[in-house]
Amino acid sequence: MAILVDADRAGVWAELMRMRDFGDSGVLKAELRAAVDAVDAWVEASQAAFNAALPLPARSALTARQKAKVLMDVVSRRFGVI
Amino acid sequence: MAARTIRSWSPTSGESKTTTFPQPGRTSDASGARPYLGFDAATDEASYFTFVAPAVITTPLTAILSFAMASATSGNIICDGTVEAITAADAVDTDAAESLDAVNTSSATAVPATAGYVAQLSITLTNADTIAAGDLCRLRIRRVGSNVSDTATGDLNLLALELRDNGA
Repeated sequence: MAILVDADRAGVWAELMRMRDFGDSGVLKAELRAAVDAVDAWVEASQAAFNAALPLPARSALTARQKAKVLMDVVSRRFGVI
Repeated sequence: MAARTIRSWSPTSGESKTTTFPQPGRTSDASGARPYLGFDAATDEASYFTFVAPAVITTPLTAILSFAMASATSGNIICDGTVEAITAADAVDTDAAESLDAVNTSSATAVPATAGYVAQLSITLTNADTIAAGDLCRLRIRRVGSNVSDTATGDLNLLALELRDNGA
């Protein structure tokens, strides 16, 4: 899977800026956009390693979308996002 | 000449198109539920304020935006103000078109260091569509979130808008 197109990265960036706690951080718009771009690049570079970390049979049975959901839920719970 | 306030509006007076409009909202009950228009950081959103040019009006006009940031504590904002002044019998079909003059853009204005604190941004309306007494007018206020000098994250909450002329 390729990195997000510019419009999608901009969409993520815009949504984040609508969340109140991002402004409180003192981060400027361009700096937040750079973070979005960097995370997308990191996800791209880390896909294979993440997939390899999944045990069988989940690794082969789950779709990429389902694996992403597992990652999202675990990360969200760890960092108190949900 | 001392500038005079010729009109002021609350955010609820804002008129918007069906797209790229600021989100209307209210602050908390604890703050008295102040109405505001939330202008996005990433999209150029605009609202219009209608008035009739007073019988005595002198230019240049100045728009003063009283605002607070929803969350940002650093960075700058950029807004612009655009005037439409229609004299009776002008060839403007108000059902089909608008006839805005060229935009007047503010300088980059720093946001308060505390979200919710009020600041004011001034826009000199050099381009005022040759406004004259009695004209049917609209003042379009827009946050230019796409401007690279608009660096503050989060919404700009417009709390009030004032229009001044150049005085008697």
